[in-house]
Amino acid sequence: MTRHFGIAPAGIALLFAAAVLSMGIAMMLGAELLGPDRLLPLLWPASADHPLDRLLIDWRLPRVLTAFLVGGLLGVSGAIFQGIFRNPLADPFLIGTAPGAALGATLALLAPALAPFQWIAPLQLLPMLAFLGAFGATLAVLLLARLARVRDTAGLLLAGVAMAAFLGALRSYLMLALADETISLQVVLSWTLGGIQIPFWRELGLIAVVALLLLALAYRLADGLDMLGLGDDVARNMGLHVERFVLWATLLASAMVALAVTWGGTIGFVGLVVPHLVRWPLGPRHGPLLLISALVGGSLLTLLDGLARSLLPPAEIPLGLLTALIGAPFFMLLLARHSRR
Amino acid sequence: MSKSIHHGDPLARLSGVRLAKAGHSVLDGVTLDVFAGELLAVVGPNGAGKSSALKCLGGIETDWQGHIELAGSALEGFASAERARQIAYLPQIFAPHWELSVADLLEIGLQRGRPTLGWRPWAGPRQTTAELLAQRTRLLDDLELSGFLERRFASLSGGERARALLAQALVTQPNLLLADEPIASLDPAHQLRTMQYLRRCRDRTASVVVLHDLNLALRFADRIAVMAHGRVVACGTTAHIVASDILAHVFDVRFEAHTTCWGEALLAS
Repeated sequence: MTRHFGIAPAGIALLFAAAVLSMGIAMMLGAELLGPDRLLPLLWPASADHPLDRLLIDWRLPRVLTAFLVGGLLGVSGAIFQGIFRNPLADPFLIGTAPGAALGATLALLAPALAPFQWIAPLQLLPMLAFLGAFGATLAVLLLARLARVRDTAGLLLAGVAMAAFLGALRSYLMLALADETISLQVVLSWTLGGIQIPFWRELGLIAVVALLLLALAYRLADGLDMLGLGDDVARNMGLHVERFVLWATLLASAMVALAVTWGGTIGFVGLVVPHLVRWPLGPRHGPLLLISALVGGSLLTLLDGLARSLLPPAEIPLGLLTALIGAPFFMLLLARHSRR
Repeated sequence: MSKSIHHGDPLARLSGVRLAKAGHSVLDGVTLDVFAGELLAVVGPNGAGKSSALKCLGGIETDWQGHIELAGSALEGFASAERARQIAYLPQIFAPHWELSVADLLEIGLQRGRPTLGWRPWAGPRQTTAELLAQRTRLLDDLELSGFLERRFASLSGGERARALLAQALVTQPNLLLADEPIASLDPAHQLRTMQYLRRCRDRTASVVVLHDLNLALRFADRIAVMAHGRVVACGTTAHIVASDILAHVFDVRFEAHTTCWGEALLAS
């Protein structure tokens, strides 16, 4: 067989090239647009003495790489959630994950001096609480669904919707209760609207390792997701432990969303649109879908983040606004295509 | 898997299997033997528990009580992957959630009985790609699907769908196929062809087929099991079943027997 992951090697090579190209383009975008002639010398670090070069390497490059990872995580988690719920409209933010992260971040921003947080370095408080919020919310949904003896995925989805509403309300209440003149709600709001954070190189290395590990684990879900698509009964008969598989897949996808939200805030539509974009030419098999969703999601978000930095200089457009502005109409187009068939 | 199974060996055995759903008894002590190399038809009125019995054996229902044996060992002792390699199940209503092609369906079918989270990559024999391809080609020829590989499942006609589904279930050559009304939505020509195919391949894969058409059961099955009220009330050769008045009793209708070119046919009167 000459096909790997269900697609031709040339196709994969092309997509990798496109991913690198998107990062190259994103490096040129920003408040100040740079030509390729300014970027190429950066490949030889010896020449990187110029302050602008240090700026590019310490600020813009980590941001571009982070955007790529966040986009890839969102794309893949979208494909997983759509596979679990067997619903092309499922979204990574459906089952309370994003509201949970938002709640964690709000707490970190509004009450950094609370006693339980004293031992955490202030800079690490937000990512840590966002991650705990996202993961904890999903876990809570799964536990509650289990307690209520909800066994089907539709019930799980509804439990998630309830959890999202509850956490959203809780967060609004905290914003009203905790905000005072020393803390600007603007900060909380801008985080909620989404925007790629800039990690230190050391942090970026850690994010990359965790992200790649999660993506590798996610790839192993492909066969099970394919079976689930044939219906619960057939999947069970084929040897899949449906409940156990759904639980594991949900936890994995939530960890991916949690990591993405921690470093990108709440960025909608990427997880929803990217799998559709991939399924359209490649078909619905989850092997290629998961792999290509990572590359396409990463490239897409990298470019959008570049645009967010350069459209209104010196201000930045919140990335979540941009993805919604572009993603929503695009999604309508996809829907129209789909229903015409 | 190591033990080879011969014609006439007991393949599966249900004894006193009970199943309740939402406090309501669905199976009330089902006892049934399935032998290698046979085509066993299961008939009975609606609500008799035919589908549920199939689901218990196929590993879909797990909350049953009683005893189920597979190849001489208790079903609970089988890892789900191992059970899946031996028993394939064809549901009454099958609608894939994604727009799969016939080739996709077959490839997913090949995943049957493979550990799906990859935790135990060494579990179970893996056939080589060449073997699988040869096997697939044979299956496609047998089921007249060779030209349909790239077609989307949703775009197929009813007869083509039925054949694609059979191919999906049989691609790994399980020992037993459980088919829940596989021909209910087919025209007479396709009903005949599907039943002929199941009969032809029963040496390799024995079948338990739920049927509503008594005459197709009489014509193609080796044995018939009659179910009513969550039990198997009679089980035997077709001649045995026709000779008894169990069908009239169970369906609460009188049958006239007519001799046809293939044997005795029943007409409700």
